[in-house]
Amino acid sequence: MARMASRTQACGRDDASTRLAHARKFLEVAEITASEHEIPESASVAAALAVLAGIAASDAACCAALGTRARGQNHHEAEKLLVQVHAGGAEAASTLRRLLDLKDTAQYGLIHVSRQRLTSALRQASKLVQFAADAVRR
Amino acid sequence: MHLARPFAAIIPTLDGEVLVVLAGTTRPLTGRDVAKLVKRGSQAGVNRALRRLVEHGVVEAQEAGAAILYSLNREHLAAPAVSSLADLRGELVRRLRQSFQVWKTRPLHASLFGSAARGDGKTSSDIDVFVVRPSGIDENDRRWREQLDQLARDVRRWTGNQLGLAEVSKRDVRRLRRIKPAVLFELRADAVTLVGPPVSELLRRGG
Repeated sequence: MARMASRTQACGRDDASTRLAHARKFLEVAEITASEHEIPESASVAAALAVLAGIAASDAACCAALGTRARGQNHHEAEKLLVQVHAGGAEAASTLRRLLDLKDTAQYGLIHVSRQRLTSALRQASKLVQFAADAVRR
Repeated sequence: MHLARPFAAIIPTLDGEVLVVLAGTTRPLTGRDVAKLVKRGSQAGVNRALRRLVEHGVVEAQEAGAAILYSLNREHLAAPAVSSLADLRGELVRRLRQSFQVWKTRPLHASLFGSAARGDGKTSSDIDVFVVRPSGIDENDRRWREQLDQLARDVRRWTGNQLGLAEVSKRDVRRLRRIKPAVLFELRADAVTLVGPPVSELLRRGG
């Protein structure tokens, strides 16, 4: 019988700091890109970066609080892990879910992400980065 | 306050480390997981601490095959105290934010940075706060200075640490961006916004 690959991966405090630094940089570049109002495709690129910031922030929070993170592209597994970070994990998981809903549209979509949706995505990513920073600092 | 381990003011032993790790998750952890997540201490020390805490009922142990999984007993009488101790840095951030809310002359921006933001200092470390003075307010403005002095007194009373103040004017923000001093990298990497826009936005706008 074929062995099922593990959906999670062990990680620790150092990994948490690295992923938090990634999350912050993704968010910073997302904000810069979002400010290029005159370039229509910037909204989609900024939204894709906001999603990456949210994913990296989730990894950071999970590594710091649980010692494990979702493996590879299995981002919905990340939601399940994030719920277990105390306190505020359930709210963070729902924020991540909203960001992940945007992932395909932002990364592969044929139409540009709307400015309104981008604003929400940046806010959601920023919330997750803050949540991760709190978990890493604890 | 020890900035890397604020709870050490009350529980200086490894038990404090272990409790803070367990307070941070609802997921039951093995002793090995806990040892990986504490900031110091050996596996043997963590195991001893877990056994002590299980004896007091504040930590629950459950068998899962060959492993034993540990979790914080959130119904224990001491659990609220553990949660408070695990969140002392969060409490510091909340108090700092509340302080700025009542300032008569509000800063354009304030953020916590350095050791207190990263969580890696010690008892002798300063609590570093970056403050941007609004336009039209002189550095020596009496009301402005009184607010900063009060903040320094409050921080000292709350934590036992000194306030390390990095104060600049709105105009200085543009210079910071040009000169790129070391503090700028710290701010970009770790700052926790207390009031105003995030540091990245502030620097982009140039004040």
